[in-house]
Amino acid sequence: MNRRILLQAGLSLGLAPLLPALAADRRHKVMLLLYRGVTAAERGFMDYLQRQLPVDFIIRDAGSDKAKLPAMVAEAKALKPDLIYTFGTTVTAETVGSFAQRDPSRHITDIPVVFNIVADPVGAGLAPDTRSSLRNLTGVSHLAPPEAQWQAMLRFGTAKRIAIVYSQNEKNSVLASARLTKLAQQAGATVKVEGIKTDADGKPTVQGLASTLTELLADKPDWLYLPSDSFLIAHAAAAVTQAQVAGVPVFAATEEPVRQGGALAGLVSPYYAAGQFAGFKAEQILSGKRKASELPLDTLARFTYLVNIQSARQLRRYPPLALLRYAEIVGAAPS
Amino acid sequence: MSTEHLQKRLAILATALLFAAALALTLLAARPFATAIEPEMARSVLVVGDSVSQLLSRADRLALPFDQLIGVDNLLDEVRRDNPDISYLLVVDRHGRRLYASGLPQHEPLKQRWTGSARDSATIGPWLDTALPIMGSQGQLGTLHLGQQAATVEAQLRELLFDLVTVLIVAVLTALELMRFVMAAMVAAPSAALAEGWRAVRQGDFSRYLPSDYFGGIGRLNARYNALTESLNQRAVALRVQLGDAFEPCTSGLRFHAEGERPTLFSGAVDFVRWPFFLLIFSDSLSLSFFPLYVEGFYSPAYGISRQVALGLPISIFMFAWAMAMPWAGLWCDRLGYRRAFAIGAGITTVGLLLTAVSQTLIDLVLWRSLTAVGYGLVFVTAQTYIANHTPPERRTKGMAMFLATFFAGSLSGAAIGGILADRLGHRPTFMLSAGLSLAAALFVLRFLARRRMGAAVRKSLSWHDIKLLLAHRPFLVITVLAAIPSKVALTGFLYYTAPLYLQALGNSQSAVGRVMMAYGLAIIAFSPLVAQMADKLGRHRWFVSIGGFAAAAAMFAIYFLDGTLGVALAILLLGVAHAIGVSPQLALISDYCKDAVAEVGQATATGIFRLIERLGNVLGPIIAGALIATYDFKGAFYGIGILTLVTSTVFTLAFWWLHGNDAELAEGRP
Repeated sequence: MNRRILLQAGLSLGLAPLLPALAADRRHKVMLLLYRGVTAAERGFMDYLQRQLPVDFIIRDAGSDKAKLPAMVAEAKALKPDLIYTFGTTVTAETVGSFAQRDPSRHITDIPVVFNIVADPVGAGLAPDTRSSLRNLTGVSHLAPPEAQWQAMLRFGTAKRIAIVYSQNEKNSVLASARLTKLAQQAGATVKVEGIKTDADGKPTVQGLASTLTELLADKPDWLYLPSDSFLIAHAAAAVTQAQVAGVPVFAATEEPVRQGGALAGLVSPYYAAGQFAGFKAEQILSGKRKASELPLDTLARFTYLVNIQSARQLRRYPPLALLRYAEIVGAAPS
Repeated sequence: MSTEHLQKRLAILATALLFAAALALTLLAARPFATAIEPEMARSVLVVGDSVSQLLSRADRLALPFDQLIGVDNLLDEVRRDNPDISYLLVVDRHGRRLYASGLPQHEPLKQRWTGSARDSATIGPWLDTALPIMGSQGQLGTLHLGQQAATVEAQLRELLFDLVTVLIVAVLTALELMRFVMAAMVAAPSAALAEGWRAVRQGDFSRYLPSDYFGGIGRLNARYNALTESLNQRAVALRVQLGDAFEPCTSGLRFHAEGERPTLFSGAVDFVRWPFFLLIFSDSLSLSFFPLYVEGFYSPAYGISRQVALGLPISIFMFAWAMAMPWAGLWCDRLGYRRAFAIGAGITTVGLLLTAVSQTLIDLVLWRSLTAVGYGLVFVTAQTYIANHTPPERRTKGMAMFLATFFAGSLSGAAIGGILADRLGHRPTFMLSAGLSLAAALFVLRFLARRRMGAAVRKSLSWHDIKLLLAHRPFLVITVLAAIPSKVALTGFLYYTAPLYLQALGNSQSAVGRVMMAYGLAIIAFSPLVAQMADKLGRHRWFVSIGGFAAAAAMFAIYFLDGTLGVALAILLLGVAHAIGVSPQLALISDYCKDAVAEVGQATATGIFRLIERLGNVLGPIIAGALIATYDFKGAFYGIGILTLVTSTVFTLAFWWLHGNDAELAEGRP
């Protein structure tokens, strides 16, 4: 017994400087639970973490199918990684349950979970407030607050009549649509909000999207707003094209509809930066500096105002000159 | 012609020449400045203009149509709001067509310029228009016009001119002081010594030599004189050996110095102390125009006192330390001799100013200011005593007037130059410079004042008994409490404390603050001799004190009729006039009305006690003003001090009426 204490003392005195090196030698196992493949967010996460620690990644993707999620969570339970990364509100809720209702037999409680690209973690019931989840969970929200988005929309020009479309089965999308509706109405704008028509299983369909948009675009609103919505992001190009044919500009809460889909404008956190921030949180947990419950649920402090100049020209909705000072211009021919 | 006359004429001639030369230089310098200022002003908006023009170019590179851009007018409005110097902005296309604009004036000649292909900047009517090309991917898209008020050019020139005039005034005052010193050192003192030597020789006294460290004619003359005296003394020594006992009767009526000695005649002149005194007052007054602002940098609510009171506190404590140091400084000065006392005082001031420059908290600032005040007090008393002891009794009043003139000349010059320096160097470096000047004053005194103890009677130390005796004397009490103290409250509370803060709050530069404060000293210097002459002729000192008091009250209300910088300037000028009228007769009034009490404690002690009590007003001024500002704002402070002065002056007038009636004037009047 005494000898053991002595040994410990010797270790802590003499070998202390070597210990972190020893610990660092151990390779960490990090599991990524994704919804629609590896996005820029995961690249940012993995790039950051790899530079900081020796780490192996296990990637599981639901392929936009909610039904596959329970199996993925069960596998994570069995594999017991050092840390789990979850993408989006849907995956995260399925993995850890809500703060009020969680089931240790089904949900992950003993492994630290870092979420990313969750629009509104408190609104989605993942945590009581953003200071701490009060459990083995932390993460990064990629969205600009609704107030900032509404101001950004106003800054571009007229925003008197707004149309909003969302997936009824995506919690974050429902929440975001409701909050923006409230803000716009408070500012005196008229708002038309529609959930995408669903099939028998309650899932949105491409045809449903087209017919819902037709209704929304009929009286040519000033803006069509796309919230952070996995289905809409996956079908951004179709939605934007339909809107622009109708002469309606699109404002998006995420970057893909602007960059790839051709939406006119958006106030976004770049996915890659959000991923790096999540990586920073994961590093603090893995290196033992902090527990997940001690880390706040953050948003990035800076957002990027994206303007798709090609769409601007097409719609003849030119950005105000002052916007050119700070906006990131997308879709410009290299000059 | 007396040497004094000669000196005066030489000083005036030299000063006039200096003034003419400085004026010529000023005018020569102003001309290139005027031509340089226009492109310089245009350059100041160029950066802003460039950023607008770059943005328009970027829109063009993004293939946005130049004539259909959104939000350009708003952007131009915003630019104009952020840059108040810019009065209008206009974007025209290649053909001079107006596309976007903000704040455009209606002015025909300007419109012509806008439609033409203008470049660079030009003054058109009241505007300075600067044209910038806007470049696109296919050549020039159009032109951006930026307009500034051409009057700004004039305003800047005017500001510069004011500064130059200030420097001129200060240069003339400084030159006058310096000339007096040089004259005294080079002409008056040697001539006086020569005259003294010859007078002695005429009476058969060959025992003393003349100073040999002069240059030029006087130096050569003194050398000859000394050689002659030396050979005479040597012969006397030889003769003494030859004649033995018969020497004394043979040489009766003649005096020689003892063998091996070399006594030298010195002539101490009043003007010797004037220049270093001027320098020291100048150095300490450098901070006058910005001191409350300097203090503001140290204020923190953690001290538990209101900001306004805290800002006045260092002034009050300086005045308190000064007042308390005075009696002690007088004793010291008597014991050490002028030379050492002045040098030590200036040395303490130097250290105090240096430490003030590097202060970190309000507490150590107050401490270093107190130290400065002690040195300042020592110098003040020494200079005062020196002048008093070097002026014949019949010209004592004139001597004191001269002392005060030097004080105010130094003070106003310092305040004005200090403002200009603070604008360009900052507060702390200006304090450093102050320290340097006060060190120079110490060195001057060490070099030029004779190393000699004064023979005058050693002054009495202050006693409670004397103070009580004087305070029990009713006229003395009335004069000090109702006339002297309120004057000092107005001086420190209004001039030293409230005025700099208010002027700064009105948006004046440090230079402007110093300039405006200069008015007080100028009024004192200009009016004091006049008033002194009149007062001596008329002899009705109490009416002068009353009128001065009412005038001071009126000065504080000047702000009511004329707000703004001009009003404050007027108030300061009026206060200067009021104090010129009302302050110097106060001491004469004490001699007139308190004869018995003064006789009992002695004239010097009575004056000392009067000054000590009067300085309480100096201490109270900033405290009263601070409390008034905290409660009623700046104007409230002006009116408050005004009401205080009005009430005390009224009571003073009534009290004297009641105490002495009108017939007392007869006793007071002089033949």
